[in-house]
Formats: sequence, structure tokens, C-alpha cells
Amino acid sequence: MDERKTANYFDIVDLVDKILPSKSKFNYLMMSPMGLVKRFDNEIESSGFYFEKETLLKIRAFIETRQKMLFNQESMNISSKKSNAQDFDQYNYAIQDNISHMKNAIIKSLTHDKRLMIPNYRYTTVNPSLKIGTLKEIYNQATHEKVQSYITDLLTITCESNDLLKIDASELADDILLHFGISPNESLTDKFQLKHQLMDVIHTLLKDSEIIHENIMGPFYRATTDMDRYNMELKGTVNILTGLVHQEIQRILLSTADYEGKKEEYDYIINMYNSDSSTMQTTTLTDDSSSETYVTDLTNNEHDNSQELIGTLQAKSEWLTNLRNQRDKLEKEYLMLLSKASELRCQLRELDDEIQRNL
Amino acid sequence: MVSNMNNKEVRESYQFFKDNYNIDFSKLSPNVTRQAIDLINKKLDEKIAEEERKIADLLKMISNEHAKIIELNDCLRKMES
Repeated sequence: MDERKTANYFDIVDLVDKILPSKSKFNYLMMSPMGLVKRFDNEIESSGFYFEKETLLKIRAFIETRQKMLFNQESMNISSKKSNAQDFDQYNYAIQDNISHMKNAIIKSLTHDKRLMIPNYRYTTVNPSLKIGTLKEIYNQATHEKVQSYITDLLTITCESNDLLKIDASELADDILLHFGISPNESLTDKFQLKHQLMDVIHTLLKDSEIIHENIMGPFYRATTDMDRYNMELKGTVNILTGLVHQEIQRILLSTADYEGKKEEYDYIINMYNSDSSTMQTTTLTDDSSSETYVTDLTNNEHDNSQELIGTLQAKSEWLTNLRNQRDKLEKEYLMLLSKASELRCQLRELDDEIQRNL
Repeated sequence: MVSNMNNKEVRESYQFFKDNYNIDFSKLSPNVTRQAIDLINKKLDEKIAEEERKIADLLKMISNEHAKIIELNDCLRKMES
């Protein structure tokens, strides 16, 4: 029985990076078609992952053909450009383009129908509109503008550089933690395993990005000549992902803070989450005039029932204090009764001793 | 939903949580406020339930102790007589 494990998407990306490293580390023009095929075989074999034999054969054939083409191009066209200093950028571009094409084709072949096996991968439906609908629904719940804009920037930059799949989840998680004022090395981070959870979220989101790009934006890009609309749609998908990130971060930050017995940590998380108040609705209650403004603002806000809820919480908290006081009194009364019972037993024993002596 | 609380009550509520829980609701975003409210509400419910259970236990123990004291007093009276 074959003990090899199944590779997930990120395993495959890493593996293909090993087979076809960046140009600075590897001279493709020095590698014969069969040499490159052999390299592919070796990396697949040493990876320990299972791939269908038929898939591997197709990829071998593809690599061989593609490398032959590169050789031909080199001899027919590219070499002349290479010799011409002015066309050197074009020469580099042609080589890089060829490598990118090969990489993408191999990744696609190896991940064929296997992406659904990625653990915790949420969107298994093949209907893109359903995926977008779900994402939008979640996005609509997100309100934290600061986090949104920050992560939008991050993802937009990566989208624009067409490098979404190469985001280092660990680095991005560190960035986000630092953004919230937590050093990745702080014990608090270790305690709550925030980074680990964030990385899980980021991995999932990167998969979402890839799916959106491939299933929705890819065909859209090929079908339209309206680049403004394409860019607008792309921004929309990035916003959706951003909303998801925000939602998850908020959930993680708050769910890890168990208020009971961890008040300081809870306060810390709340404070760091709101460390920059510039984009948030903040008002300090100092005197009657400022509180007037505050109430007016809040009553115009859809979240104004928070006041009522906070009032209810106060009443509950006061009720809890009353209950504690009542319990204190009852405990004292109980102790008093115990003491009285003990005293009575002593009296009984003394009386019993006296009776025994008199007998 | 429009708040029925007046300014003074709102201010007092916020001050109450600032003093007792070190939470300044006036500085939290609406979203975080809602989650903080849910969290505190849940904990308060748990604490209230725990206190009520303790009080019920104490009342039962007090009742038992009262019964024992009555019994002991009866014994004492009988022995003294």
C-alpha cells in the first residue's frame, strides 16, 4: 500500500518552486528538456506526496515540449535579443514569462480537482455566484473601517502584483498582530496562539482569493475589454476578502479573551483593538453639554440600543452585588447558627456529664 | 430603536462600567461594544445563577441548622427538667 500523503495546494506551490526555482538560482537555458524532466521526477519522488501517475506523465510531456520550445526560441529569436543590450529586458521578460507559464500549468495540473481536499476549505461549490453571495453576506457584517482599509491595502497590493498566492501567511500574521500593537514575540501572543489562528485564516483566505481569481475574475478578464469595470470588480472581491479577514480577526481576538479571571487581558485586547480612535466613533463623557451631543449622535445610529443593553447590564451587575451581599448575610447567619448549635451541644455534654456524676 | 434612557442615566451606566469593570464603552466601536455586552451579559448571568444556587443551598443549610437547634433545645429542656 502506498503510504504517500496527499499534497494540499500550498505543498504543491512549494514543490513547483523547487522544480522550477527563480531564474536567479537556476539557469533554465543550461538545462536540457530531459534534464528538466529528470529534475521534476526527482523532486516529486523526494517530496513524499502522492500524485496520479497519469497526471505526472502529462506534466512530464508538457515540461519536455515547453523546454524544447524554449531551446528553439533561444536559438531562433531570443539569442539575438540577448546579444542586443537594448533588448535585454525583453529577453529577461521572455524567459520569466516562460517559467511562470510552466509553473502555473504544473500547479494547475497537480491541483486538478484536489483543491477540495484542502482541510477547512469552505467553498466547495462550483457555482461562483454562490461563493460571492456567501462572502458578501459575511462582508456586510464587517464594520471596522480601520482593519478593512489596512487589509484592503495589503491584498490590493498583492492583487495588483498578481502575486496573491505567494503571500507569506506567517509574515502577514505578524503584520496584523503588530498592527494591533502585539509584538509577535510577546507571551500574550503565544498564550492565545493568535498568530497560529491568524495564519489559518490567511491560508483559507488566500485560497478564496485564488478561487475568485480563477473562477470569476479570470473569465471576466478574458471576456471584457472594459478594464475600468474589471478593476472595479477586482476591488470588490478584495473588499469581500478584507471583510472576511476582519470578521475572523475580531472573532479570534474576542473569543480568546475569557473575561472571567482574565480581566486584564480582556481589557488589553479591547484597548489594542481600538488603539487608534481616529476612525472610530468615540466621545468622552465629561459634562452635560458633551453628553447631549453624544446621545443625539447615538440615537441617530442603528446601534443605539447599546445604551439600553448597557443599562440592563448595569442593573444585572447591581442585582449580582445585592445577591452577593445577601449571601454574605446568609453565610454569617449560618455560621452563627453553627456556633449556636455547637454551644448547645456543649451545654448538652456538660449537662450529661453532670447527670453522670450525680448518678 | 431609540433609547429611553436620559443623558444622566447613560452617563451613570458608562461610569459604572468604567469604575467597576474598567471598560469605557464610550471609547469602543459599536461592533466591539455589542460583543463586549454579550460577553459581560453571559458572565453576569452565570454569576447570578451561581449566587442564587449558593443562596438556595445556604437557606437549606440554615433551615437544617434551625431544626437541629430546636432539637438540641428540646433535649436540654428535657434534661434540665
